Amino acid sequence: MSPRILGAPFITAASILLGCNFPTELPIRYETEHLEIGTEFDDSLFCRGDLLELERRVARTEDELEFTLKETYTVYVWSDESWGSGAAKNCGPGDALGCTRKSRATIWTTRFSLEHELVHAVIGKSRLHPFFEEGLAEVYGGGQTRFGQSAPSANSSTDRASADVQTAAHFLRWLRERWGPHYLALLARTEDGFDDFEAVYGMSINAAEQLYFAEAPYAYAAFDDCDAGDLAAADIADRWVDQIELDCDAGADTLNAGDGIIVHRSLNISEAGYYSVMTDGEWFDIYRCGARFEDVPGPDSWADDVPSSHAGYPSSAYRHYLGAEVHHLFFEVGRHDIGVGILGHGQGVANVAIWPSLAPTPEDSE
Amino acid sequence: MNCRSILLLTALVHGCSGADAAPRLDQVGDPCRGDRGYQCIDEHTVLRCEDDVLVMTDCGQVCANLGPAWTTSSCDEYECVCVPTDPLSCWPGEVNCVSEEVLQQCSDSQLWEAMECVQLCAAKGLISAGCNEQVDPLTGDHRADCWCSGEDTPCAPGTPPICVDKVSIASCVDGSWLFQDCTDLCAGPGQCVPWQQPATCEC
Repeated sequence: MSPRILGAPFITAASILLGCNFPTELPIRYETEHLEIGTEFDDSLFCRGDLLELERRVARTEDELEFTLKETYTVYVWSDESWGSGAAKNCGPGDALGCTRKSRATIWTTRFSLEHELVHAVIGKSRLHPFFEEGLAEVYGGGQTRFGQSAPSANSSTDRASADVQTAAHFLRWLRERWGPHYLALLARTEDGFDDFEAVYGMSINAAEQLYFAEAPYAYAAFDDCDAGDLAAADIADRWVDQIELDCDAGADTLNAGDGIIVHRSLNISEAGYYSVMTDGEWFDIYRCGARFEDVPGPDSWADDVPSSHAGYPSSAYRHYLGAEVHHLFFEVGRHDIGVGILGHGQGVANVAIWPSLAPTPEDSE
Repeated sequence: MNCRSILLLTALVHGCSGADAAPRLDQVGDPCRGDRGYQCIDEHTVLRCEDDVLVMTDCGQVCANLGPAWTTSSCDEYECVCVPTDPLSCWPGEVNCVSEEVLQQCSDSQLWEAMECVQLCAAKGLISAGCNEQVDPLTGDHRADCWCSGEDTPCAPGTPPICVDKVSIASCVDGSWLFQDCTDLCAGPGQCVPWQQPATCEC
């Protein structure tokens, strides 16, 4: 089923009170194959590209963890303000930013936690230890992972609120990269995860974590780092010229970006140096991608002209530049992501060009 | 029901917890990543990550590893504070512009070393555009650099023009890049349009 952005809902109230003194439901504004999504936002919280991306997350979780999401889930996405002023009461006291009630096939969440909660929906009723269950939700939620504060095995006595989810996510991502997702699928079906770890992996969790500490990188990139289509190359090497169509309702790669919409493209820089970048869109965002990051980012690396995605956490780093100006930016060698945005939630076209800079730029004196 | 507990809200979340959190990896010998300070033990000793293991290190050694001009001052929270041996001399790595064309940099032995921007740029096949000092608007760091330009540098004959900036264009003429203002080419207001192939001044 192709995702649908519904018209103005019949119920226009921002929320619905159902016998409680806090809002429990929201008007349904979007439908996808697996989801009916209610939001309190008048403007488009989701463009077609966002809805397709949510379905891709569901599909990836289904494929890799070998589950099937059979029922249609109702998803209520609240603003951070509404969450803090009452909507969070739909969840338990330990549910910081979202929760999934599998018995009612319903998710209450903020936008930040939506992808995480979708993984819980796909996994369904589980007896897994929260360390593994929350870790899987983080991994397949798609964000980057990095070393946490504790050893995986030391979390066997933790509960949902005290488990070191950062460690869980990085450990599970390492297991995925090391042995593939099928073993995670097996682990996800166990009673606890800790007790059954050796039966799945053929080694104790203590032995596995010794390997993890020896082999795992500082960070793994988000699943969607640089998965956008290629920026069109110009006729000459190391130049790119593209005309990008943005369409919130119909564009398969158009994403919501707050007050505007954005489309991402990827490009490969083969020679480090200054490149000039310009768009006639409202802005562009840019960062360098990776798969695994061995080194800790420098203290100010988030402020680089074109930062590595792992210079930010939990959200990946990027730099934001206004359109209608030529920006001379230093690029390292590697794959990069550029997102070009326009204001509003309609449609439009934005040109973008990148070329080796001839303009005066600062040169390293080293 | 599943919850999303994030680091920012650990205080809130842990307030509801019935189980203790797992012990932190903060003891000598614990695994770690990176090469950062982790925690000051006392004013001269830091727990830091070296070769992926937490070790206790004397700040004097940490600072000495930076170069001969560095000595330890103290340990502040989680990092050794290193200062130059001679407090009256420059700080190694410090840079500034001493003239429009000369950059000076403080060496590892706390001596100012001057560099001609013309020479620095020529070594990279570029033309000097002078020495410039500025404050990074994001980090607040002061920086000084020789700026180098591609104007009058060699180009392969037949290379199509490219924009220099919003209002000027570079054309490959007789084997070198010629910069021209769009206002001159247009005999009036004009802007360089980089997504046209080849780039042109739009009048």
